[in-house]
Amino acid sequence: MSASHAAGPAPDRLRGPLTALAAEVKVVGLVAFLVAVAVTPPTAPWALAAQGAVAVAVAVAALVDWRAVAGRLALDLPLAVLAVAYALAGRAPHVEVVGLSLSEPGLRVGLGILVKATIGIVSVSALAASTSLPDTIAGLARVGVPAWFRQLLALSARQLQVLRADLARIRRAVEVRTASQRRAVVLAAGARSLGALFIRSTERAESLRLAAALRGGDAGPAATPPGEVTGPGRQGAPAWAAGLLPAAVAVAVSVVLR
Amino acid sequence: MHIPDGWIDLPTSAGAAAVAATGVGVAARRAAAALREKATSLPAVVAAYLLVAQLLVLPVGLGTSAHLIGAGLAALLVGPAVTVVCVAVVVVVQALLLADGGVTAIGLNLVNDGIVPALVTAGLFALARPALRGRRARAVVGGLCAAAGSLAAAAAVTAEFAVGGTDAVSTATVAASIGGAHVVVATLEATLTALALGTVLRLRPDLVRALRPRRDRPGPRATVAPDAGTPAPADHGPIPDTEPSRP
Repeated sequence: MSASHAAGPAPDRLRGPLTALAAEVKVVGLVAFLVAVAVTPPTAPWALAAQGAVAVAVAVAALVDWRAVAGRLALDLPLAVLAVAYALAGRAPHVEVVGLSLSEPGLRVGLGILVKATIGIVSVSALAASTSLPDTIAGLARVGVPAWFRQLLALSARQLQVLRADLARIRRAVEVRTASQRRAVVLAAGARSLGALFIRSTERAESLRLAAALRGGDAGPAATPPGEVTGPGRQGAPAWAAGLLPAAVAVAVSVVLR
Repeated sequence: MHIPDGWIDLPTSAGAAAVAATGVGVAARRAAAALREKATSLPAVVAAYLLVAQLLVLPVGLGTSAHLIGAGLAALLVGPAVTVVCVAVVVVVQALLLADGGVTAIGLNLVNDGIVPALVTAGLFALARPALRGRRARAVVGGLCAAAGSLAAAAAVTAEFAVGGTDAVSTATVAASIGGAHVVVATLEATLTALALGTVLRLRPDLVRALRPRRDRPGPRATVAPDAGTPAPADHGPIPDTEPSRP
């Protein structure tokens, strides 16, 4: 299991300049920035480089743990393969790069995708380093994301932790029981454990519901409705200006450096 | 692998986003009963399940890896409506919190990883269902339907590339590589789905929605035993900030 799929707040999140900014501002700013990066044509390498610099600057301001970023860069690997494949299989004109004849448009498009994905990883890390998941979900409430979606997000994050622990236990049991067996047996046991995991988790959902019913229909401890009590109120223009600044810079450089 | 930013042009991505938004809207309405469940509701379990199932990554070669799409299995277990809603959460989480897949490609990924495989798998299985006798046959056919679902997803990706892909690489090359990779993925999907579904059918056959009698399911519901006797809470509940400490 890769660390990049970890859910929930990091235990040791530092308080940086971006921590105080409201979550919805950061989420909207992130989406706007990533869309601005996505629409930048790969024929503008300097614009992409400038946008990368913006992403790194924001990540530095967010006190990102760069080891975590390096872990997330594993997501770049398939895209690096894609870039190589594009460079080899792309159409003419071809260019000579260290003795290899590579397709120029293929190379450009492939590298563009790779660079955009890397910018995405760095910017997403900046959000993750400065915002806890409950804050993020509360922020989504203030920008009109439907309640069922937020609730599903919150519960899924919790369930993700539970299921990962469950899967680890099931896998350990499978490993112990299939230790000296052939590879196919081990793989089949692993696949069956997915079925077992589903049964375990739905049964847990059932027992939780039963417990809730016994308590009188309501589930869990008294909870604060996110976005109504816990978080700050509507954000003023300065906060939104700060949050949308990276996106504005990204748009500007994509126009100027085209 | 999710579609990254810049692989498909913006008009096509926007079109796919419109299709995806419509699909999630319809699915959310159809799954309304299940979504209203409080506490650890089934959709949350399924969304987490999809994320965990995708961690079961198998190397295919050339540095690429294939993972279970999982939507086919989920569609058989909980129905396509709940599946599409869950994949929506999964794709948004992967794009915005994990940087897996592009932000402008969220619609595309939702169509390819959710709507297409869920509908194809559930539809084919519903057609085949009357002819199936016995647990083993049901599990195997369920696996084959999931494989068909992942091949349909590959066809959808190829169609998207043909409409809005870059002209730097020919569509035929991309179609061949995607098709080739998905033959492997489909084989894998069929095997894993059949084994997982077989396990659930053996231990808790009542949990498999695709095999429940039709009159028992006016709408997609959480799989809670009917004798639990809890009326579904009517309002959307607040999100518990402090989750129950014990699972």
